[in-house]
Amino acid sequence: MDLAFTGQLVGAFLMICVFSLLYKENPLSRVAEHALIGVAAGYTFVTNFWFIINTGVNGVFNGNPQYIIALVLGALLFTNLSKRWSWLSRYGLALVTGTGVALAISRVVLTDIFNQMVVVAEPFLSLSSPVEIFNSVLMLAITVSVLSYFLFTTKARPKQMGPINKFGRYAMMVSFGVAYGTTSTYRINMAIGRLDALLNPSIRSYSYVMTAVVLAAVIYWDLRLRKK
Amino acid sequence: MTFDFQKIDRRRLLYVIQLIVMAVPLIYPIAIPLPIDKYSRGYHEAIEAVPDSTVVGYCNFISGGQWPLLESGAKRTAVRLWEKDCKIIFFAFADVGVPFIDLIIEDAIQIYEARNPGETIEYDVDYVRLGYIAGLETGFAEFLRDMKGLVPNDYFGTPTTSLNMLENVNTGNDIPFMVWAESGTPAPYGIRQYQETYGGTMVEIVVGMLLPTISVYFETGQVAGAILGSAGCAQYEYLAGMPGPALRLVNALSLTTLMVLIALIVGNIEYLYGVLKGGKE
Repeated sequence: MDLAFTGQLVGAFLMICVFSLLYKENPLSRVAEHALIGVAAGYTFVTNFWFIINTGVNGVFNGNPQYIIALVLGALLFTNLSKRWSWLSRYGLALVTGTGVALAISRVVLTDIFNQMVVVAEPFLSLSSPVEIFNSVLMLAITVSVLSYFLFTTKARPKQMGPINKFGRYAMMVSFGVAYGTTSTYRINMAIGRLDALLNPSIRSYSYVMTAVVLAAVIYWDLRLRKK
Repeated sequence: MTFDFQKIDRRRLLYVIQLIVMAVPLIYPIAIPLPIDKYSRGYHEAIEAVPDSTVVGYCNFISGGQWPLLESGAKRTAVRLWEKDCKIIFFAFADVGVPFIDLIIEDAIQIYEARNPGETIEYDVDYVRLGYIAGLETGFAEFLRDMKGLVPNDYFGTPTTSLNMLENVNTGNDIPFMVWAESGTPAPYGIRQYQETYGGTMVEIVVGMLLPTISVYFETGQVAGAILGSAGCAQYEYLAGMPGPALRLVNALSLTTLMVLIALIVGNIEYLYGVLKGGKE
């Protein structure tokens, strides 16, 4: 039995343990959950640890002394564990946050604001079919009405704005509905993906046996619990 | 012993029925028509438009949860790019994406060799692996500014300065095409730092949940195309002429969604019936 196949079997067993939640929460489902969290945390730690060693520490020894600053600032983040010295962690955090925000903001204006404005306006310059005209008008109406909904600069809004704001609110509700629909489809899709792995022809027969064993174990555990 | 239907937890019962509905098309595949959407078509056209021997960046965020949904598209993309003699640089800005690069490469090589008998894919000729790079947006910006400075060694410890494939590659200008395989969390910084700054072509492999996010960038042309979840993978399998497992998943998804819709309608009718009979709301 090779390592990959053993891995598939262990994975399938843990998946079945998680699916046993459908009966009720039980020790097997909790073992699977805790194993997932433990493995994920361990993996993240090891991968990042070696990244720091390979890039930062080895970088210093290979003639890049500037990495010392990054290593020191990174190490200072751990001072957050101490109440007395936690203020030191702010230097590293400030640098990380500042750099990230600066890099993002300088591009967000073009990527997320300017280009979107161009797309809203552009179709009017090249209208070719009634459907395109309708889509463009609708997009413009939604953009304006949603933006007007978030105009808070005046204390009292003019009454005439009421229907526009309402249209903007409905447009947002449709948008949230689409987002919610795609999110729930994604969850279903994930479950299908897991099920497909369980029903993979190479391990399908094992999956059936393991499902029966896990189900029997959970029912037995539940019956014993009820007797107590 | 009497059986009381009212005592059953209906939520759990619904989940079990859903599980059965999901499993049936996975065990007994059925044929449901599959429309091709504009995102998959754009993705396919963008890949086909890549000039031969282009250097391509391939950033992978796909991890365990999304792997069954997106693996087909991720592998077939690499295959198609290799068929165009492209040179792929694999890297990951999420640690969880690293082991899945192994799987993409291994399986893509198998598919490639089955489609192109006698031809092989070689490390440092057709692809290189740079492994995990920390820093997300900051890291990516620096990666595109000075790749060899940020990543002194590849995944196997070989200095990147000694890799033949990267001889003339060090900045975002040297990578005209980027494949951005995302996980469940949107990472638009790829568009910000690569497409907007260097003007290269970008395509995305994402879960269907990110449709509202991706469609915004697709309409502006910042993303040339996208594979959206297992449905997108199935469409790309068809467009690229490489049948695979995604179609089976899509059939299961279609049936399960239909079942959810029926459950919603039945639930609402029952609720309405209760209200009309004068029951509590």
